[in-house]
Amino acid sequence: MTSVNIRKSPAPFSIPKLSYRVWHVWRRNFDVFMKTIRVNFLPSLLEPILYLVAFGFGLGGFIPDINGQPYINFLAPALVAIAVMNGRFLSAHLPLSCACTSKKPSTP
Amino acid sequence: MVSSEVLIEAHGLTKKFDDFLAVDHIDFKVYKGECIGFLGPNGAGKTTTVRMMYCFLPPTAGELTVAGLSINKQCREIKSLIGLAPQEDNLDPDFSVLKNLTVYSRYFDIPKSEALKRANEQLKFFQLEEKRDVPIMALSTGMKRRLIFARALLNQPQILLLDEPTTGLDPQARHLVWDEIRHLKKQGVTIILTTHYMDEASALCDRILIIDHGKIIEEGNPGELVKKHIGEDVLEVDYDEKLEPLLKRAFPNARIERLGDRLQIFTHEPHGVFEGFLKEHALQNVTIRNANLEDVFLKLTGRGLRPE
Repeated sequence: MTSVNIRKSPAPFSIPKLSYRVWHVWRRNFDVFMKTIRVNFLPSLLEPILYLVAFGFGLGGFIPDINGQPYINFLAPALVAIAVMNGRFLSAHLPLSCACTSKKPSTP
Repeated sequence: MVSSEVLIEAHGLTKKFDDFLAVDHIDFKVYKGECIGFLGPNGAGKTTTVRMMYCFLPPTAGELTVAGLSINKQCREIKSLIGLAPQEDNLDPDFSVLKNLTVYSRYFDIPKSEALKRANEQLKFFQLEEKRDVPIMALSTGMKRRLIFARALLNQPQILLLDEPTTGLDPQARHLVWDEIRHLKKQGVTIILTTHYMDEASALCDRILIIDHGKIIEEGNPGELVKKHIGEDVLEVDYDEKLEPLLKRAFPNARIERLGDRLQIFTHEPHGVFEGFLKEHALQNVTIRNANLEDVFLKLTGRGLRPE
């Protein structure tokens, strides 16, 4: 019984072979999202609106058109982009950082 | 119910964490329908071995097959076959008790109505019905352990991995879990159990493996191991300086161990060997008890505490 095969660790950036069951994992995350919608979704909806008001009316009043474009045309899409980026980043990184810092490995 | 069909087989299985050798070239076989117990002090490598069985940790070297499937290549198939109750609480804190079970069933493609039926059955059996809609945070440790066990049975597994299933349970709940394990054993489910409770291992396991420092140091049927290493009876008396030489003279072949202010005398001689000695000497606080698995365990793994 000396046939010992040394397992090579997989390449760090290999593409995972996914099965259709990723759908179940997505459904689990979706269920959590729907359950925690008040703390998850509302703040990230309100935040850009707040910025839109503050920068649009407040700061925007002092900024003239640049190359014929009003400041709001620059601001609004940027806020949408930031909201999307922040929301996704947080929901993806929070579980990860919890899993990395806590001593317990989380399965399955 | 134990058949000769090998279900889980390890050859030279090794796991290294940096410089620490957690599992050191172990070989073992688990037969179909068997209840096998992994015993060992903290940090001996039990959990690491079990974790490799459910593809949570890749082995550093060696081979391990579960139901003929290689854990290096066929993780998905293996995971769909086994039921798993890990040591740590990994219930989904965002969901209620029932939702935890139904979401878990979904991972196994169990249709919704069937999942609900099975979840309710399990809740009923483990006496968690009243807690159906309670968030996980509100459960006691024992309830969590029961829920983790219930969850492991949802996919009606043929192989059940139980990593310390009764740690933190009260005696009532412990017996409930034992009953369920016995029931599953009758149905032919293969059970792999790790535990620190020797009475649990003696009561449930057909065969036990004692692991220490990543190596299997002994294996066999619990009763036979006790006979082989300890014998039938153990005499326990209060420690006394004068008594020790007396005992040594009376039982030259016995192993005498001092534990704090108690003396334990182990002998391989048959039942009733101590009675004559007790009649001659009036001793205080004497107990004659049956040798048990704990004696074997302590003899083989020593009494020193282990660093976690």
